[in-house]
Amino acid sequence: MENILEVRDLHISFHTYAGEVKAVRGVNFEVKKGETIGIVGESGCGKSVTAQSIMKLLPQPPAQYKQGSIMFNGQDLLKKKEKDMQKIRGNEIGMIFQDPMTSLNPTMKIGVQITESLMKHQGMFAGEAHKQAIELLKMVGIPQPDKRVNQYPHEFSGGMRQRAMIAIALACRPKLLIADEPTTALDVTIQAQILELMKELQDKTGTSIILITHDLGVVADMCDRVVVMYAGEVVETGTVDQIFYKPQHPYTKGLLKSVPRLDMNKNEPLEPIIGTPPDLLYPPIGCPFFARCEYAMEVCRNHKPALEEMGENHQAACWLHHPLAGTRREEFAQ
Amino acid sequence: MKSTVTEIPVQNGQTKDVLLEVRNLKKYFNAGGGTVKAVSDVTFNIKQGETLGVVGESGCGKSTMGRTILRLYDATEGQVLFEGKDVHKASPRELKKLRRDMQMIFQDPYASLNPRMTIGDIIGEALDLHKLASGVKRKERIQELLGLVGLKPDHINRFPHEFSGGQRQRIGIARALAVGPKFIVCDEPISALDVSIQAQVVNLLSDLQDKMGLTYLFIAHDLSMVKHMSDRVAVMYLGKIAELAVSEHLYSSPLHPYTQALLSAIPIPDPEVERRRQRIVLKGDVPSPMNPPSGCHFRTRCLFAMESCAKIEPVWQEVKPDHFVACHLYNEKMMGADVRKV
Repeated sequence: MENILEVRDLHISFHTYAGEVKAVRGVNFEVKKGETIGIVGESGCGKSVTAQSIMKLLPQPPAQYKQGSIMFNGQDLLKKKEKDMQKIRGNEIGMIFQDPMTSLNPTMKIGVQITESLMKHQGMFAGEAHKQAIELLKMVGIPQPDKRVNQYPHEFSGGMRQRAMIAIALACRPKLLIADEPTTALDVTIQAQILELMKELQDKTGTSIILITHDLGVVADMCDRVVVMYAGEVVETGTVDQIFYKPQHPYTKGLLKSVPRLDMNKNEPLEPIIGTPPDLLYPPIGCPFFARCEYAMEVCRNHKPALEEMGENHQAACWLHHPLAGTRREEFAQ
Repeated sequence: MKSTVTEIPVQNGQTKDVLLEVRNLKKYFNAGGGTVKAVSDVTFNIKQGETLGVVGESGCGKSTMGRTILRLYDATEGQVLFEGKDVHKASPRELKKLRRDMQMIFQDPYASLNPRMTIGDIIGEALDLHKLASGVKRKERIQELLGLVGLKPDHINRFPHEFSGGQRQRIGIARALAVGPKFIVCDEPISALDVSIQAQVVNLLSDLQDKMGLTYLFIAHDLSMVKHMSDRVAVMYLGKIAELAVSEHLYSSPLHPYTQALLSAIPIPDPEVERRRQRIVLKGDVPSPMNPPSGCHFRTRCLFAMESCAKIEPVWQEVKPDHFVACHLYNEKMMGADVRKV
């Protein structure tokens, strides 16, 4: 399958009063046509920054793209001018944001917010675009779309707003949809509705989806492949089965063990990951997970492990898989 | 139709074990031209040393219930009996005494600690108010509490902004423990924290419970976490408790259609399980608590709604031992010809 998006060696920093925060440090991943990839990690691991950089939404300054490339359809987005980016945003790449309460314009009717991109990108006239907006609202399951299209965001509930936002993001049939924590602000029953809707629409339109989330349950439900990020780096990538059943990085393993599962017994204790993520003002020289890793070795302190092949489509960055790791590796394998 | 307390047997012969009884508790708020029925008529009890989990979607009244139990809000109607004493009838002096037994841990560790006070003063405030310790003893006690929640004794002179979210929540816990309470309302203590930190705080709460014999009311919207923490779980919907049962029973054989939908909506972090699962996806949104539906509050989204659901409010009844549910599907008299077991 051909790659629609390739992110290569991406470095992003923020210049703050305290110094340079190296939020993304050498991220590599690709998205194939029609697949859903999940980017998981804790807050501050750089997953949202990575996503926003694809749309080039980060204000510069303070943000700075230090290195790397983001190839979309064979073109490097980082080399594009703002004017060219505007042709891609909302047209070829759509985005759904976390908080539907704040990411819609409260002073614009829902319909106008949808027709905006249709008229700009597709050259539709107002009447035609209005009709299309009603169609889109119908597609995302909003009842009485012809009435709703003339309402303002405050007249919508949280779940409905998220549906409206999906309608906006999909208006121009983008090739890639970036969903940044699309259900985090929603209740579980509404979350189930939205996830169901996203799957349905993907079947219909064949868009690729990048799903950013910290909820491993959502990942298991939605994704084909998973990218695990920690402290601005990719520590492991693989298919959803490889990540959940054969995690090769201690962080992935720790993450999976620290969440309770509905089908787990009460007496099984949770195994938290001790400590907190490193401060990216002063990122560690070696493995970023060194300080919290129960399998840490001397080499991890000062030498950064590279992403190594663990199997087909499965990569992890960990010294445990080095031949010299010896018994430590067996400990981990258990 | 009213659900009355008297019909509910107070856990046959185990009355001694009951630490807290909530009877027909109601809390209404006036909101410009209407009444928000945040908590409308809930009845349950909490046994000594157990954790009662409360789950529900946002706006279902779970936090209001927790706060009303502690009398942070005055109840509109109903009783809260703590060791037999009515919290809402207590005089100011009695209430102050009760506060030593009942404490709270708040949701947002960023908003619930005064940024101008040192950690020592935040924790020590309770000691001062209740005149529990002063001088050197006060400092020793604070340091002991810090150690108890996994912080260092020399953190005593630091300010909240110097701590991470997880550490702040530990400070909040230390503050609640300062007066040596028997009962703590934990209002979404982990929802503001990262996944790997959540487990740390949850384990701390469990350890403290074992060590000090605490009783918790654990409020959260994360059902997996509630299951992990709780002995019994209450499911709330629009100001009412829909179902209450021992947590294993509730999760393995939920009775109320809302509980079933809620459980099926939670994604499980296991791709195999997810592929095999059939989901019940509820239609629509939660109705406004200003104007809840007649009869059963859940009927507008319920897959099994019958005619009687709109007319008659379901009775809160014990269908199986220790398994309470408010639903007409489990009421023999209501069922009649329209038998549709879930």
